[in-house]
Amino acid sequence: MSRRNSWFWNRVAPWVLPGLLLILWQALGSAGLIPKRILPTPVEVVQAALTLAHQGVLWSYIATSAARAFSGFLIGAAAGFLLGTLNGVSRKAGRLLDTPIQMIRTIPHLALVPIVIVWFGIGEQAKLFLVALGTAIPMYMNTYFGIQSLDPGLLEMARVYRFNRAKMFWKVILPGALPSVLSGVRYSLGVMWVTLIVAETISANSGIGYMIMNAQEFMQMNIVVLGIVLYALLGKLSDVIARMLEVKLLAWHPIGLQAV
Amino acid sequence: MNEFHAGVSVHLQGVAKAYGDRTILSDLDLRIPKGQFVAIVGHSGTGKSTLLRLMAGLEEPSRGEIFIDDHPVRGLAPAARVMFQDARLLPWLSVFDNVAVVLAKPDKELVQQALQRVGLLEHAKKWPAQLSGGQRQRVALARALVVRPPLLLLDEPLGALDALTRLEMQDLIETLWLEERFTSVLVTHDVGEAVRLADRVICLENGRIELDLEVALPRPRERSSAFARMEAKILSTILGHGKEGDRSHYAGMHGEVASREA
Repeated sequence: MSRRNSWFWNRVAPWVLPGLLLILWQALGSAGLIPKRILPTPVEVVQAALTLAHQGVLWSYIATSAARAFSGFLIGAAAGFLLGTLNGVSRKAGRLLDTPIQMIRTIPHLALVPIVIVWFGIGEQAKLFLVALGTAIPMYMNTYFGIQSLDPGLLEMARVYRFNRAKMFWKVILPGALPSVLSGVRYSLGVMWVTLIVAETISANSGIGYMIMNAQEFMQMNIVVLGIVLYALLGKLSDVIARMLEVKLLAWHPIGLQAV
Repeated sequence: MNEFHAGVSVHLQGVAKAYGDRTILSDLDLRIPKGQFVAIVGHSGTGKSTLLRLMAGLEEPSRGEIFIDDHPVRGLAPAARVMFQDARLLPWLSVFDNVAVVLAKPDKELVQQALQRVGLLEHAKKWPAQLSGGQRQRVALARALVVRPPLLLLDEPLGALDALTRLEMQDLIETLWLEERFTSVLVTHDVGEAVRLADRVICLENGRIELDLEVALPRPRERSSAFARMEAKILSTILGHGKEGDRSHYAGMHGEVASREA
């Protein structure tokens, strides 16, 4: 395969079908075959984005939603990571805490929305709580699993070489669990956006969810679609960041080495 | 540190080890003088590796006592370093850091010296995954020797390597041992390897010492008729205790026991 050919298949080919779909969508809309109240055309969605950006509200909506998402994620991921580490390192803590956490895990956290509204009202805490709870569980599971599945041969080696507790944790346990922890991060980021979308759709007076619900009342379908596209873009962005973290932190990994 | 007596003596006194009602080692008495290179050979499951793990303090004897330089071993033996069949390098640390990590205080020069001695200094910045199996074992050897341990325990460290790499590693281990004279205990399936490296070969069968043979051949050792006679003697001891079905393992091999320790 020639170099130009492989460049096409690597860089261009994945975008061919989505591109064609967009053109078809625009063409059908312009021809009046899809009514505007059902689905606005891509150009109208872009126009809505430009108008809102010009008014300045678009950025504040995005900033509000992103801030909610990432503060909830930071709280939840930190809690999940710390609990997973504690249970992985201490057998007693694991015996005490793992079963209750597994019980909480079986409850879909979005089923708690009615209770959360009663507890926290419809303010910021409710959204933070839901995002934190949703992201903590996958972080916990992956951290705990990562530590439990460490190579016992390496742990024995570390004993023979008399690693102290700090060296054992920072040089053996943490880096050994890191691949699993990072897939926990990616999974949690996915949960983070889903949870935020649900929470913002139910109740909000700012953010992307508010923008969508507001536009729906006035049948501004182009803004509704814009909001959905924004969620998709933000989700993709956080996945890309997580991928970059993996590439950077797992440079030693045999799979990563092959790719270089 | 005294150059020529860098090692420690090891004394096993009536040592026995059992897991449940399965006896692995029974009433073992063994004295290893300072600086001696001892090889332990025998069938799989005769307790060779268990014996090594007892000396390292990784496991406790069910009965008896182990003394290192007349001090009874309690918990991990401070004098001992172990080389395992797999290199057990930390995959997330560079070659350099894999050696450096075992030092209590960082010492760049010491690490470089150790890597120099195993001929891997130019690979110091690589990840373990970028090395061959033989190179990984050489890093493990550098890691074991960087602290200049008085007792080096080798648990079939060359068992997984190809024949040529194995010969190179045997040379390297012999050279380093001749330089430093640490006490060395090598568990191996390869009778040729035992005769090539050791001052003394011990055959372990059914948890007992069946043969304790001094190998007084000049070093470096070539395959001579005396070498072959030693090999034959050790093999016949092992074969004398093998089950009937096991004999085929040895036919036509260079004194290598094909079966692997479980």
